[in-house]
Amino acid sequence: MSKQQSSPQHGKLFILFILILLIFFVFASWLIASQQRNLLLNNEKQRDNLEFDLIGEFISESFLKNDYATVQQFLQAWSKKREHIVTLTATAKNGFQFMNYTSSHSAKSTYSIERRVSFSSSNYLDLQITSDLANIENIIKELNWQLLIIFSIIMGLLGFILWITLTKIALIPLETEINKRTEELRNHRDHLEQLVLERTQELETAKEVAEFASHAKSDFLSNMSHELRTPLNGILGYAQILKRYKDLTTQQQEGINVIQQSGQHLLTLINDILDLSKIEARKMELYASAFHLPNFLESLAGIIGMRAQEKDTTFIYEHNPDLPSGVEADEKRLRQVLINLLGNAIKFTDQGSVTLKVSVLSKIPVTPMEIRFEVIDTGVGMTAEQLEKIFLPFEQVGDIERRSAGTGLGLAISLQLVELMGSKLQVSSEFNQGSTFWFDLSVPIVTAEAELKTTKTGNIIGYKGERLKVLVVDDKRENRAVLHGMLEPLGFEIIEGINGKEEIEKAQAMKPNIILTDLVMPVMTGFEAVQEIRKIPEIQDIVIIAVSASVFDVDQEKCRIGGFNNFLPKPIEADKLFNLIANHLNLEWTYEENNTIETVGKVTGEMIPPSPEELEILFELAMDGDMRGIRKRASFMEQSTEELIPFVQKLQTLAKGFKDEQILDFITRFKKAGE
Amino acid sequence: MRKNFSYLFLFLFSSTLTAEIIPEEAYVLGVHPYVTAKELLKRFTPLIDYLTNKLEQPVVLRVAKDYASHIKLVGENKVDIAYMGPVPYVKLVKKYGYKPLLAKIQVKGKSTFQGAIIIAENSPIKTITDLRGKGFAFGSPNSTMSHFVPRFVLWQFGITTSQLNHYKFIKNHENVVLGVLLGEFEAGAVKKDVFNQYAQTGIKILTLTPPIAVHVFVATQNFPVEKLDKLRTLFLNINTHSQAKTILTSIKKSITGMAEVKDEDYDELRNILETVANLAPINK
Repeated sequence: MSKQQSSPQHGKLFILFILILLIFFVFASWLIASQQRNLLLNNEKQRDNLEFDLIGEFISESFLKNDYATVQQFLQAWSKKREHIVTLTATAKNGFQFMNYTSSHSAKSTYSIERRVSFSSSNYLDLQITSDLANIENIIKELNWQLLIIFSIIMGLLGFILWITLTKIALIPLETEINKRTEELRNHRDHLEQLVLERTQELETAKEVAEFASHAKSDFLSNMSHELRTPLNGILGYAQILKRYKDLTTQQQEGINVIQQSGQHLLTLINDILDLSKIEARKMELYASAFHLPNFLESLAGIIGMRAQEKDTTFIYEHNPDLPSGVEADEKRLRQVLINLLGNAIKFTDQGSVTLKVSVLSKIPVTPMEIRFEVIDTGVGMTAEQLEKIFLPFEQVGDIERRSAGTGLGLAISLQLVELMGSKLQVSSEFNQGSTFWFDLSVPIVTAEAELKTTKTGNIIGYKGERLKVLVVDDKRENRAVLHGMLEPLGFEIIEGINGKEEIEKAQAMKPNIILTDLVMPVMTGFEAVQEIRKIPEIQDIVIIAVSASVFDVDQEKCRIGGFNNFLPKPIEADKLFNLIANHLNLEWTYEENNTIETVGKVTGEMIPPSPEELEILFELAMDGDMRGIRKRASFMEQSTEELIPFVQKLQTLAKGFKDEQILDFITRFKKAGE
Repeated sequence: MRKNFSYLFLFLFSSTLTAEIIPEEAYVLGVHPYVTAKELLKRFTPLIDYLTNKLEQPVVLRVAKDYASHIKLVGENKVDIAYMGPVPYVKLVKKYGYKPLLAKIQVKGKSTFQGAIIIAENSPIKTITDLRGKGFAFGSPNSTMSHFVPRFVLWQFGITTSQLNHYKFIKNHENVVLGVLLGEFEAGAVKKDVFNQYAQTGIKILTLTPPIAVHVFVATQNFPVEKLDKLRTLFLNINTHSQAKTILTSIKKSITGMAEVKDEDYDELRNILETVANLAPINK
């Protein structure tokens, strides 16, 4: 601000100074010039007078000799030689003009000097010379020029010095001001920096706290999940054990089903929350492994097909014949995503179909290969508004009835998982028309053996061959009890241990065929125990399967390389357990003869309908919409004829949902088949 | 031809030269040094050329050291032809006897010239006698018109130098005029020609002198007698020569011709000179 004001002031001051200098110079010049003029004039006059002295002398002398003519000639010649002389007159006392010389050139300004030369006692000659001042003027002009040049130099120098001085002096307060401001700014900046530093530290502390909190939360969740799994293991384990009991009434069986389904739901919730917290904490990692893609998809189709059948929704599995057999990906997570998407599709599709379409995008078979996974349904679809929300955690769309069936985390997790796989989960939907979810995965092609096995479900009642010993190690009684309950009925000899130390001891003592061991136990962990067992020659080849509620994938990885033969997560799924045992011990199960159902292939498995009379009664009840009547009848049929159970179960499901039309279709189908 | 004469002149110019150097067959024209020798050669060349041509014999110029030696050279026949002022002629005859006369010059058609006694225009002097007790300026003591003749005139009116308040020889006619104009002298004596030059400056003539014969060409006894008539005719014939003006004016601007001359023409002057010589000696 002061700078902007000072600049024009400086300018004015400078001009004023120059003006004063100019006036001074003009005055000085005038003084000098006039002084010069006087000096020069005096000098000239003095010179002329000196010459006059000489001339006078000459004239006097010549006149004394009466040599007038010589004087006349001399004066003529003398005048002519001196260019500055304009006129020269010599007048005698009697008025005779002895000499009257006039120069050929005229002059603007002149000066005159006079001299009386006496040459006798009474006679004299008055001499007058008029000289041209041009000569002097020229000299003055020349001098003035020199003066001007000198002045200009002095002016320039003075101006420069003045300017420097003025600006310097004038700028001192300005500079002080600037310095002050700079200092203030610096202080302010320092203060800001301090603030930023403090804030950064605060933020860092906050971050640390947050991270600590986040870590604590993750730990808490992990622990909680671990802790929750243990009771769930009990619940689900016993639900599975109880289900195997043959003398259960439908109501009892239903109760057990409710327990199992609730437990499963709870488990899903726990898993979802855990996954999400892992994702949020960026702890979710993918573990790629080679697997047989067609088999993977087939088994997935089997699971989903069953669910679809429960809802009477058509499930179509379309796959490209060019699909590679062996691929490398995180099988578990891919399955999670696809099951989530397909599960949702079925959930929101009451009529029509759900399609899983797997196609190869790459034109030529290269590795990695681009494969598109699409889940197409003809369900309720979504509005644009709903579309925006579906990937947000805990967001659920659709009617309340459907919402209650999930945690609202599935899609959020799927989205993140697909992103972790390096792709993007995309969706297109039309309200009341259906939705399509798809993502493209780039997967390396590897060789993977297809595990061709016809999995028979149904009730396993035992195994062929000699009796086998199973060592179950877990510090928690209920966990041991579940495994005991699952395996003992099949004919296994169960030995129990409560820690790693006992595990080793009992393994040595009893030489079991297989060990099922918990990982985290007091005294000695499962990891430590396995390490030891693998060092003891007589027992080092025993099949050891980790049974853990650990939620860390890293633990499963650790097991894989830590000497375990396999990993079985808690809560234990009986089928998985049986499969593992069968695989590792090369067992062949024996099933309950009448209850074997092929689950691979058409989902409409063979059901044995009741007698045509019974069908007629059910048809009548259905026509009347008497659901309670149907359920009573079904309960009766179930107890009277065991082979009718699949039929009755389906009927019960439909009747519970008051789906009278579907019941009519269902009954009509068997009626026609019978006819 | 001219080159030839110029060459000869160079020898003549030096006064130290002897007659032997001069080619024997050449005639020598002697002149008195009234201007420089160089100027004289320039002035007399047309005449020399003319004479050389007509005489069919070279003519060379000889400039004397001074007026006295000129008279001596002529008197002793050291030259063949001579140009002489009236006063030197009178002195020559007086000292060396008669010399054959050739021709006298004519100035503006006349063979005589006059002097004048001048006074300031506003001078109270009316007559010559008024000059008594006044200051008087003469030119050269040897000058015909600024000394001898006017002094004779003053004498005629009974005025001697002692009767003048003061008098002075002031070298030349111009000084005389200026002296009178400046008021240094009440009167002065000058040739009439000179007065005419200053006529408008503030002087006037108090009186004129009697006319006096002018310059004359004479021969010496050294010149062959048989050729004298021819030579005299040659001089007089200059008047009718196609180059007459060049020859004459070259010698002196005012010369208009040549005229026959007799010794008697100089009797007047001879008388004046005799008279003046007998006057009280002058104070130079």
